Amino acid sequence: MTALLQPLRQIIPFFNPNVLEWSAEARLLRWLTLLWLGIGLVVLFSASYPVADAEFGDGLYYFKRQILWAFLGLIGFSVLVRTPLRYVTSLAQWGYLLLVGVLLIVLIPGVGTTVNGATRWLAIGSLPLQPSELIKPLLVLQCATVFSNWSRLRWPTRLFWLGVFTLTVGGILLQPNLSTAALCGLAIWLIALTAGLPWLQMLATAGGGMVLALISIGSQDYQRRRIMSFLDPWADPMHDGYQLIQSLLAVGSGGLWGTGFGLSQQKLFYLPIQYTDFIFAVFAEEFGLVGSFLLLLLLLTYATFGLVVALKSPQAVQQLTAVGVTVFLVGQSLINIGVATGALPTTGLPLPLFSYGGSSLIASLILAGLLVRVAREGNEAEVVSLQARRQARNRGSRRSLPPPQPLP
Amino acid sequence: MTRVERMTTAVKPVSKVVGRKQTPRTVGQQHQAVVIMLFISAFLLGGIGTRLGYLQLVEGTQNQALAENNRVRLIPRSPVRGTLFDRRGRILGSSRLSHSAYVWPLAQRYETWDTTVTYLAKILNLPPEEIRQPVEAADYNDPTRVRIARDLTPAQITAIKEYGNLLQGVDVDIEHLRHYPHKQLAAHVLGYTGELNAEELEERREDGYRLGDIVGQMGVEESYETLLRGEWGGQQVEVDGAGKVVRILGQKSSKAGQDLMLTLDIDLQKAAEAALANRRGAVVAMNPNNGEVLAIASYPTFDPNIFSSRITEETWQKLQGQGNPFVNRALRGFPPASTFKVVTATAGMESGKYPPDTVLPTMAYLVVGGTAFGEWNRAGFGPMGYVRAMAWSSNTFHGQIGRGVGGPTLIDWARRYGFGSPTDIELKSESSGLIADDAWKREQFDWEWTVGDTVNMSIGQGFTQATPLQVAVMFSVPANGGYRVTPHLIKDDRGADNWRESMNLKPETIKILRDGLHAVVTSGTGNALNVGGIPSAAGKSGTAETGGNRPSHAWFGGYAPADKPEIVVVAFIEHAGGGGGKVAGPVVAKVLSAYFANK
Repeated sequence: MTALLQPLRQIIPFFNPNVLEWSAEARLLRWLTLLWLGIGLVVLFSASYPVADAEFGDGLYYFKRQILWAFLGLIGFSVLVRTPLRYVTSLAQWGYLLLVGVLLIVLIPGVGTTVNGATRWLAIGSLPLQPSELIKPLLVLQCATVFSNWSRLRWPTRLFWLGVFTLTVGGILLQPNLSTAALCGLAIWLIALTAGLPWLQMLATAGGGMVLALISIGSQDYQRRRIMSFLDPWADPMHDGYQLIQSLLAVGSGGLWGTGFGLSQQKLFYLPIQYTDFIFAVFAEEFGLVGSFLLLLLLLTYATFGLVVALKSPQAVQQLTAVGVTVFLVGQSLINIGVATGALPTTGLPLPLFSYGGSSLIASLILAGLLVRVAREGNEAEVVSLQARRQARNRGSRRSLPPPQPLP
Repeated sequence: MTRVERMTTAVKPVSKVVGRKQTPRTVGQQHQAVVIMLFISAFLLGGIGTRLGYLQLVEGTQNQALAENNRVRLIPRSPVRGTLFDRRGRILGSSRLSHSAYVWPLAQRYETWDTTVTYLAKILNLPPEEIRQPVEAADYNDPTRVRIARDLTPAQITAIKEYGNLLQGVDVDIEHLRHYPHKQLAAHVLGYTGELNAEELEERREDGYRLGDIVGQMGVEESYETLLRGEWGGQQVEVDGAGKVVRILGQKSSKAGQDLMLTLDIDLQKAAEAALANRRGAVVAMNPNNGEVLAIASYPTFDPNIFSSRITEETWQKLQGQGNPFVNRALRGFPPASTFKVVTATAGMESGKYPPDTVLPTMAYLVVGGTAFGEWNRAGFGPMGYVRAMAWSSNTFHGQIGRGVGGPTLIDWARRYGFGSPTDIELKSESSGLIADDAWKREQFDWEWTVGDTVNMSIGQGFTQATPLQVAVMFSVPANGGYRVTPHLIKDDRGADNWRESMNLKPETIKILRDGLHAVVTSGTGNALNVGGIPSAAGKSGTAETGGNRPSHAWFGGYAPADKPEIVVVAFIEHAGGGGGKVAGPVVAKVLSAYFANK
C-alpha cells in the first residue's frame, strides 16, 4: 500500500516529501506558486459564481472545472519539477513544432472556434484548447535552447528557428490576438537579450516588432477601437468603453480595504468576462488597495526570485528558461492588471493562475514547474534524489542537444 | 560570424564571453540584462501600485458612487391623480390601475439590445423604432426607466414574464391610468391626460416633470394640473445586472392629487349633449346668479380615454376627419346676431336717449349711409316699444337705437357686458370674441368706422363675434338683476358675490329687458320654450348670417323661471340654416326641461 502511495505522493505537490531537500529558492518559488494558485482559485470562486449560476444553474460550474485543470496542471508541475531540464528541452522542440502546426491549423477557416471575432480556440470534442496559451512553456524552452546555443549554431539552423519563432508570433497575431503575440514576442526578445545577442540586432528586432504591431493595429479595426476606447473610455460608454469603465468602477469601488470576499457588486453581470480577463477587477473590488498591494508584493517576490534563480543558474539554458518563465508569469500578470486598471489598452490576456481557462492554467503551472526545476538545478548539491540519474545521463551524452536540421 | 562577433565586442565589451570558447556553464551569462529586468518589473509594479492607489483611494469615492448607479435604480411612483366629481359628487374622471411596460436604459447591453427590441416589439405589437428611440435617447447613466407601453393586456404581461430572460431590463409595473367613466361626456371641459413630450418638457422641467410624465392636456385637467397632479413618490431599489429587483432600499410614498368638485351636473350635461343631437355647435348651461357652469356641450367631440393609452393612427385619422373635434365651440367666437339686441336695448335705455317708454316706427328696411338694413319679415311691424321690438326681434327698431346712441356708446356697453374679452372661465384657449371699434377697423381695413357699422353691430352682425359662453354671461345680466358674472367650473363655498359684479343698471332697464325676453317666449320668436315642464321662461333667438351662400348659424339664449331665474341656457348651432327660434330654441327647451325635471 505504501509502495503504491509513494509515487502518488510525489506528484501531489503538497505531500511531496522530497521538497525539504531542495534549494531555498526552489522551495520558496514552489510555495509562492501554490499560494498564487490558491488565491487565484479563491478569487475565481467568488468571481465566477454568479455568472455560472446564471448561465448553467450551477454556481460552481467554472470553479469545479478550474479545480480539475489545476489538478492536471499540478501533475504537470510535479512531473517537471522532478525531471531534468535537459531531458525536457530535448523533448520540447518536437512538442513546440507540433503546437506551431496546431496554431497555424486553427487559422484555417472552419477549423478554429471563433469567439468575439477572434479565432483562438481549437475544439477537441467538447474541450476547447487554446494553442496560443499552451505554446508558452514550449516557446520558453525552445528559445532558451536556441539562444543559449546561439554561438554554436550555423546560420541555416539559426534562421530556421528564427523563422519558426516568427511564425509563432505571426500565427497568434493573425488570430487576431495582439496582446499574446506581443507578449510572446517580448519574451523571445528578452530571452535573446539575456543570451547576449548583439545589441544592434536586438534593437533592430525590437524596431521591426514595433512596426509589425503598428501595422496590425492599423489594419485591425477592433484593435484600433480598443486603443481609442482606452484613451477615452467615456467617449462610447455603452459599447467600446463599456468593459473598461465597468472594470475601473470595480477596482475603484474597492477602496482601501475592499468590500469583502464575495461581496463584489460589479461581478453581478455589470462587469463583463469577470471570471477571465477582468478577474483582477473583482479581486481589487473585494480586497481593496491592501489586497491588491499584497498581490503586487507576491508578484514582485516572484519576479525577484525568478530572476535571482536566473542569476544563479550555472547553465545558460537554465538562466534563459528562468527569464522566459518570469516574463510570461509576471509580465503577463502586469499587463493584465494594467488593463484592468486602465493603464494599458484593453487586451484579451488572462491573469495567470487567476483567470478561468484550462489552457492558461495548465500552461502557467507548467511554466512555474520549469522555474522551480531550474531553481533546483541551480544548486546541484541539494538535488540529492536525482543526482545519480543526472550524472549518469550527463556522462552518456555531454552534448545532448543536437540542433534540429531545417526541414526539407 | 566574425563580423557579428566584432560588432558585439565593439558595442559591448562585457559580453566578451559570447563566443565559441565558452563552456556550457558560462554561455550567455548576461547578469546585467537580468538585473535590468528586475528593475523594470519593480518599476512596472510600482506604476501599477500607484495607479491602484489613485483609482481606489483618490477616485475611490467617486468610482463607488458610479458603481452604485449600476445597482441602485429609482422607480418613480406616480401619484394618483385627483378625481373629478360633478356638483353632486358623481365621478367624471378618475384613475384605474393598469399595467405598463418599462425599459431600463441602464440595464441594456449592446449585445442583447437587438433581441430585446425584437421580442418586445412583437409582444407589444409596436414598431421596433418606438421602443428603440426613447430608450436610446435616454441618458446612459439615468437610473430611471422609460415607459414603452401602457395599458397592457393580460396576454402581453404573461408574454413579457415568460420571455423574461430574453428581455433584459424590461419591467412590467402597475400604473394609474386616467379613466373617464362617461366617455365623451363633457370631454371639452374635462380635457384629457397624455404623456409629456420633449417640447412640453422644456416648459415644465422646473416643476419637476420628466419625459413621459402624465399631464393634463386640455380642459380642467390642464388648468388644474398643479392641484390634480399630486406629489411623486419613489422607490430606491437594488437590482442585479439583469435588472431584477433584489431588495428595496428606500421608499417615499406618493401623495395623491387633490380631488376637484366641478359645478357641472352630469344629468344636465347629458341632456345638453343629447339636445345638440350630433349637430355642430355648442350648448352652455349656467347658474345666472353666481356663474356656476352646469353644462358645456360642444360637438363634434371625442372620447378622452383614448389618450390614456396608445392612440392608433386609425383612431387619430377618424377623429381628425370629424373636423376639429378638440375645439370647444362654446369658447369660440361667432356672430351673435339678434341675441345681441339685449346689449343694444340696454345701451338705448341707459344712455338716456331712448328711455324705457320709447316707441319707434318700424319699416321694411332702414337706409343708413346708402345701405338698406331690411326687417326680417320684409314689411315692418308698425310702431313699437322695447318689449314688442324684442319679442319680434325688429332689426329696424334696434338699428335706429344703435344709430341714435352712436358707435362708441354701443361698443362701450358691449364691453361692459363682457364681449370682446375672455370670460375668465378656468379653461385655456378661450377666445375673446370680437367687439370692433374705429381703431380696429382702421387697422384692419384702413377705413373709418361708419354709421353702417354701428347699425350692423346693433343687430349682432358685422364684425361682432361672441362666444356662446359670453352670450350666456350676457343673458345672465337681466336674469340676475344686473350683474356680470364670471363663469366658473370649480364648486366652492364662496358666495355669489365673489363671482359677479354689478353693472349698475337702472331697475327700469332691467325690468324692460326681462319683460322683452319674456315676451319673446310668450308671444314672439321663442315659443319653442313655451312648453310643459318648464316654468315660464324668457329668451332671445338669433339667426346669424354667415356671408357667402353658407347656411346661417342658429342661436337661442334663455333663462327660467322668468320671474326668479335659476338657469340660463345658450344653444348655438353652426350653419343650421333655419331660424334661431326654430332650430336652437328646442335645444334650450330640452335642457331646461331636463333641469327642472331633475331638480
